[in-house]
Amino acid sequence: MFDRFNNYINENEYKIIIKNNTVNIINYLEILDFNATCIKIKHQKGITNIIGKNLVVNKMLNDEILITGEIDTINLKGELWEIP
Amino acid sequence: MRNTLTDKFNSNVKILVEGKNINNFIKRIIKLKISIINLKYHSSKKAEIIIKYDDYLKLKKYKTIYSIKIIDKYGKLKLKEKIKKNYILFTSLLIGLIIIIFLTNFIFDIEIIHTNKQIVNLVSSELEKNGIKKYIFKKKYSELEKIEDKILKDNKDKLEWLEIEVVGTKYVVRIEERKIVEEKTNNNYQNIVMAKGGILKKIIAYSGEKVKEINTYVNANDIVISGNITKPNGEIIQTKASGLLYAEVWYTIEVEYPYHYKEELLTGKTKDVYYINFLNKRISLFDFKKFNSFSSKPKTIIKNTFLPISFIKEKQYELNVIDEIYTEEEVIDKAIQLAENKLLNNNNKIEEINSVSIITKENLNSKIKLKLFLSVTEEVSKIEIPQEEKSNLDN
Repeated sequence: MFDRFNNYINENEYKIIIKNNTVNIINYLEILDFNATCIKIKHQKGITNIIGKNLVVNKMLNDEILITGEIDTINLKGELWEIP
Repeated sequence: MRNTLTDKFNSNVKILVEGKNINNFIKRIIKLKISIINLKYHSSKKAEIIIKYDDYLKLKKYKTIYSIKIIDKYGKLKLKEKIKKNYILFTSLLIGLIIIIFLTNFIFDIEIIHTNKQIVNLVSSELEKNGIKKYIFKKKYSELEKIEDKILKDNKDKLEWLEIEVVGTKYVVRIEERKIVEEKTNNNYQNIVMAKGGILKKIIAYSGEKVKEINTYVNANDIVISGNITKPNGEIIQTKASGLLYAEVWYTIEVEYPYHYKEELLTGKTKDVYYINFLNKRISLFDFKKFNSFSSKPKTIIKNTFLPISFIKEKQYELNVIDEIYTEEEVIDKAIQLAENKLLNNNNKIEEINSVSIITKENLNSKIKLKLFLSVTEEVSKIEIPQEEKSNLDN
């Protein structure tokens, strides 16, 4: 209950928002690797891999990152998520 | 992306980076933990990046490998640049504003509206005595009120009403002259007598003969300035005596005053304050100059039905609170002051209060009750038309 309330007030939960060829990641810890085809992002509970073509970090703040490009796959916590 | 209002004021720069591989440059930015506010790729060798100005200074080291050029500025930087560019305009605007504020708070003319020149001269000298002149700063409303009261008090026999109004950079003074309607009688013979019994202190005789001495007790209706004048040859002629008599007379007054005195007065200042009410805790927003005491009318703007949080707009009315607890000595002083003011307000013939003595003092629970004996100097002259003159007039 307290954790949920804390998350509501401080917004420190890890979030990925996917829109047309953009991925907005909130509350990440670190960018481990970055190139035009793969971006590895570390967060509190693991690592997220974004795989695609012409990947670009559009915006990058302390706790927020926006990636654009032709995104094929987002690998979250070891599970593979296919983008339709 | 979350954008806050403060982001708009941050000093950011848009840089154009050119080099062999832009991705390597971005990797470096990531390693240096520099925030990218926006990035626009032109090609793999060229990109536009918006970053903080402080971060740009860190990146300057890599200028040898990559070409980095500032192409735009945002926030404070942009503002500074604009001010620098237009500093003559801004400086003249600021100076103009200061001059306008200065001039609008200055008095250039005083207009006294009245037809009687004597009254105009009197008021103009009184105004000057009280610091109301041309080419000085405007006075506060409360100060003007005090000056109005003082002038009226000092000239109560000549002025009925006075108002100082501020019209732009001019004081407009409106006056109502006091017209004392003198009782016009056709009689040729009259005496001036005492209206009240008391010790005679001053006699101002314009005509007639003084028949009483100063510092003697004279009863009410006793003649002080007689219309009968005795010539050196013993002949008595009857005239119309006129003059003023001042005597020491006495009053007893009962007065009550509380030990605890509380008064709340609205100062006329109001303001709107917005605050967040969370768990009955108040978090004010932008309330920089807080009123010491105020009364308020709150209006809820947003209320969360699930959480004990609400956003409230409150209209605050500043109060001037006089809350004093007096000692016995202080309460006696206050009660005496109250009695004196009452007496002076009710009787405009009183010249001055000579002394006050306490006859009885009674301590009630929360207040004091005093019976006071006041010795005052009062104008006590009264015209008396003798009976034979009255019958002559009737005929």
